[in-house]
Amino acid sequence: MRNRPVRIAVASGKGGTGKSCVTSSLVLSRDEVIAVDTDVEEPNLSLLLGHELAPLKDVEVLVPRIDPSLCSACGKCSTYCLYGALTQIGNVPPMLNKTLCHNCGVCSTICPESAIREVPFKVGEIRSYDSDKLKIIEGRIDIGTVNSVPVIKETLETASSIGEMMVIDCPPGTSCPVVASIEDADFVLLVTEPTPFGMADLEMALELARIMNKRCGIIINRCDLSEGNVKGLAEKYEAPVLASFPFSREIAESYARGISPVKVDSLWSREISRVWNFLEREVRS
Amino acid sequence: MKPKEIVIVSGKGGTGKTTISSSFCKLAAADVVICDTDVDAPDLWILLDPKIENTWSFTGMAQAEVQQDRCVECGLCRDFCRFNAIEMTDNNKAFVKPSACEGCGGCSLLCPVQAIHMVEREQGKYYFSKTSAGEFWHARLNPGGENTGLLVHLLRKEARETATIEGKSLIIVDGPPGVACPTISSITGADHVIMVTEPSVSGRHDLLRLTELCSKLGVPFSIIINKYDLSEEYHQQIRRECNERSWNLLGAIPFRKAVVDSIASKQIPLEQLNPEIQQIWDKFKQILAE
Repeated sequence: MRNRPVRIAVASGKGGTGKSCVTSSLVLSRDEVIAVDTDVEEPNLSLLLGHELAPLKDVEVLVPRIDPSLCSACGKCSTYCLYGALTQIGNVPPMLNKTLCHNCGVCSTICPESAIREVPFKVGEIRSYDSDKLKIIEGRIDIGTVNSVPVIKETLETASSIGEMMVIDCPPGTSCPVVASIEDADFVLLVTEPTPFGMADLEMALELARIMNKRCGIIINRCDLSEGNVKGLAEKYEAPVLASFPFSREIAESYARGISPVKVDSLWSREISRVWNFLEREVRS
Repeated sequence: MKPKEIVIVSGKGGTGKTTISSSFCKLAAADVVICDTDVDAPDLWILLDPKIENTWSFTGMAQAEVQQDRCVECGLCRDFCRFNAIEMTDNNKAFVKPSACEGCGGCSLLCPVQAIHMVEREQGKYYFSKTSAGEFWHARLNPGGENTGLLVHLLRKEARETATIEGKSLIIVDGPPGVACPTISSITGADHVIMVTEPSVSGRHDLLRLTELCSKLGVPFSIIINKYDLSEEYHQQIRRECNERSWNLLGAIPFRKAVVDSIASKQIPLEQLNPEIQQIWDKFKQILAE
């Protein structure tokens, strides 16, 4: 038996293909799941679930604070800070650029005078909604924060401590924020559209899933708007196509008002149930 | 004259950044250098059909690597690493997960037997290409690659140099979604940012965060509402907000199937976006001249 809750990640490569539509539809079709939003730069899953979130806690990282009375201005910290966050000019303590700091702890460890202490610095927050029927955990970086990964990790940890199955709405792309979001996922759903853009980005996402050794499946959104060869990619990467949804002006219009497709479209509710059936078999095996 | 650098971003993905960037490239009538900084999902090349002239390897920062036969299994490196990038393997030797290592070098400083070295790894490739619309700097980060911000910085620097040497007056940058690392790296110090939004509760939410970021970074911006007819309510709301806060609204474009069809056949959808895109372009040129 696994000793941690199952994690389903919804990712895409290309943005705007319908990740939040799929995540919200999955969450609204099944009890005892937690909706998790790790698109911490632009979190909007809760907008489609129709609930106001309340602040749960701040996310902080550690940044150096230099005690000028102890600092000998030796320059060692600025030499060893590979991110260029500490600049030493002349015979005064170095200056810190917080946006370049990666919170690695090297400077405080190597300072020969023990003049560097690490202090918490807020980079974002976790917000939540909790009712009998639905739980939502959302991460949200503060505007100006460069590195979103600490907020993503804290979001996943917070959600995971609740102990129920998680459906994770991931950020777009294929770099570090996505890696952090799908790292511990048991299954990855990739939402695509069959345009040349969708296809190119789907292939990059499938490649990432392969490198990370993740099982994945594909959901095609707006399948009738273009004729990209999703099946070819699905075969190449052994990722089954689990559902296809045509473009619908009605769905687009209700999405615009914050209504999840599963609430307005019978094809979505039918297909999403089938996806759940598949997922339950898949994550058990 | 110093070239003006324009960055097209959106906050939310899929609002039409690349569609509008590509059309602007064409409207600039060859007086432009083009740059795609959405390096982990680059799509502008699909419409520009580039002839690659040069390819370089992008290594980013060096990452830690353990020489396992020297490792004495003390675990100091694992305990130090803030990124949880180091695990002890089944034989109790330290192992660095490349996808998690941020390259701080702390582990190699601490290792009592110097078993850890910093090694440069290819994180992606970047390219200089010729296209019928203009010279083009673009890249492709390996899936799971690191140092997006650094790669974006490099592409913009190269594009500025090309534009200066070639005497072009404009640089058009097709940016990434979001508001963190790659976006901050794409818009810091730019002459103007164009935000492409869509009339939805999410599009508006993401737009507001982006305007906050631009204000914080001190970059002037304008706004385009794409697919405006998908929600009259949010279309009007965004218009109202632009008006109230004196934000430049360049214009609004309706949803047209013909635009999607044009992209499906890998063609820049300039005619399909007209007449609106020409009016938007003219208005934008005016703002830029002021």
